[in-house]
Amino acid sequence: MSKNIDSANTKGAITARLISLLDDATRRLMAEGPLGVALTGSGRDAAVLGFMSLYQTAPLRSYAASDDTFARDAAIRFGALHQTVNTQKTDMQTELATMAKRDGLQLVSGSFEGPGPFADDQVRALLADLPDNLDAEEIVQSALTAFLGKALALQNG
Amino acid sequence: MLLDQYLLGPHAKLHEAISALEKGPVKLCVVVDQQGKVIRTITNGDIRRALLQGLDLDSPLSDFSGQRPILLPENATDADALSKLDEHSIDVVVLVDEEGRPTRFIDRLSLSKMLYLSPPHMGNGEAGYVQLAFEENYVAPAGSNLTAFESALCAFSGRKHALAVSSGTAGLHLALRVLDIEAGDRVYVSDLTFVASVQPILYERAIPVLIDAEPVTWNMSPQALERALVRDAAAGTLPKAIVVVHLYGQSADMDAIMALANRYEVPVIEDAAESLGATYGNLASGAHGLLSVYSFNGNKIITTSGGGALMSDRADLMTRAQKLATQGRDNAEHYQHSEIAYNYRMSNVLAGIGRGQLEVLNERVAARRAIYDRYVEGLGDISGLGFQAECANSQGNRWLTVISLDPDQVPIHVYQLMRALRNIGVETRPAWKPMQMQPLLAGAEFEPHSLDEPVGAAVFLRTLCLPSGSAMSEKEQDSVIASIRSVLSEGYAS
Repeated sequence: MSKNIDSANTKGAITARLISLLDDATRRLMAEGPLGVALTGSGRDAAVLGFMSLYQTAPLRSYAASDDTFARDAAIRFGALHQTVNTQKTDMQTELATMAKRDGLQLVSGSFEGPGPFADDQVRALLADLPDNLDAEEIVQSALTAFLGKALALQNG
Repeated sequence: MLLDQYLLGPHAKLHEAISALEKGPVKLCVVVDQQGKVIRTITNGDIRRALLQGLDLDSPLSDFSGQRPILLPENATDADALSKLDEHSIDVVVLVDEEGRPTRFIDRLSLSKMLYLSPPHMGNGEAGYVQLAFEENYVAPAGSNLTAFESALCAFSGRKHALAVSSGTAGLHLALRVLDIEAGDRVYVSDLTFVASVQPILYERAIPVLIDAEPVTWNMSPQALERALVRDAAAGTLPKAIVVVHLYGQSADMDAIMALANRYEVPVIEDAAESLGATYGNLASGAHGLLSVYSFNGNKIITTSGGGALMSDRADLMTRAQKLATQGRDNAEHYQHSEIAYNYRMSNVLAGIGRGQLEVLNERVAARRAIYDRYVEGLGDISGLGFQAECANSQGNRWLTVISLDPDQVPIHVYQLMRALRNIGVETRPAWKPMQMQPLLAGAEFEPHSLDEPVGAAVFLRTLCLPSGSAMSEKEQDSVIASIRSVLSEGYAS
């Protein structure tokens, strides 16, 4: 017989909650205006592109460094029109934002600082208030793996 | 199809091609020279490849790698066009005049009818039973079709009592009402399901507790169920009912679930909306719980256009359900009512459709299982592509064949496969989105299958329902299989 467990505070339940919050935060962000995604080497960026792909039928737009093969893989996975910049650019983030702006899009990413669903208040609150035995990075990786598989999810940027 | 908006001059740039592609439904634009003759065609896939090769938005289209355009003369027939589309595995072909100037497109979608996910499949008897309702002038929710349909449902399912109603959702609502479920009561329900499994719980202001799926059949996890029952028993908050869904026609692990429910004396309602014709052990799907519900919605394995049935062996519960389904009229000559009730009964006309459909149910189940087998045969060798499994000791009706794509082995997401197939006239659908991911149920209690990872969300994010209609021909299914293989091997580049 099972032990009496408070499942709400387990890794499984919190991972499910994080997936739901990211999905909903992405949906709400997309309702505010057209978005493009910066793919800067993090599995979180790929997940943002992935959640957006659930809601947008027309091809998404993604932006990355020209030698970033993981960004290319993410763009292919989610059918994004993928634009790149030369890796010699000193301020990659600014360059990507400029490209997105030229396309009439606000650039989002998987950064916890935003803009993007990982900066959503509920997402941040969930990850900031975990039980002592759970680690935020571990929960994020678990959520990303469920969506992206291990290869893309385990990228760190 | 007119193509002016898709024409680009010889010096056009990449961003102009993107704009042209976004203007209309045809995902192809045509580059012409100064005489208006076709130089090449451009697709989203061409643009993606160009960007990956380092071209930027201001690059002229002349920088694209060379490729001879695929063209047909303007007097080509539809058959010529279809042959050309198949030969080159493309979705659109450009027709040109004698000078090589484009005159129109032919796309695959316009050439073939849409192949739907699960369309109705009528037999030979339905119209006759409908006619009978007219002849008897019983077109209300009473009459011989209704009685005969309910009797046939009992015979098929092995249940003692059936109540035909306006929808499966109505049946579930009645099941909750006859169990006296009220505001604040806890009701366990499968998390990975269509929202209709949960809506009636919300109608009654009861509290849904979402039980995760297990990873094999994607039905309610007995492990999660047991954990929730142990905890709630200790807290004195056991649920008033457990609503178990048989997902896509494949039975949940009813031995384990019924054993747990009996141990804690919690009644089980089987949401067998998708599983009519399936079996578990020696019984029909829907013959295990205290109450069960079938659906006859237009997309189900058999249909009454819209409708459902509540089933049980308990006469007292069914008598009460019948009263609640007919506005709760008290026993009096006049119209007297003492409680909130509903207008949920099925029409005798629709029950006539149901009578005819039940006569061919076994054939429909056999056809859907054969379709599933053919998909397995045609796609089962693809690395990373899996299928929803059946519980041991059960035979699903394979209402829908559902595939999963392992993201570590398949380079595109299921939604890209879905959209690519849609572009060639094949309807597929994502799996049900788990209830715990629905804004409607934000914050609802959720019991994961494992303490370490949830199952339902990953299933949703990786799976796709394939066309499974019992009237689908082998040729049509072969075309679906070939298209899936093509998309997965070449990537989504339309």
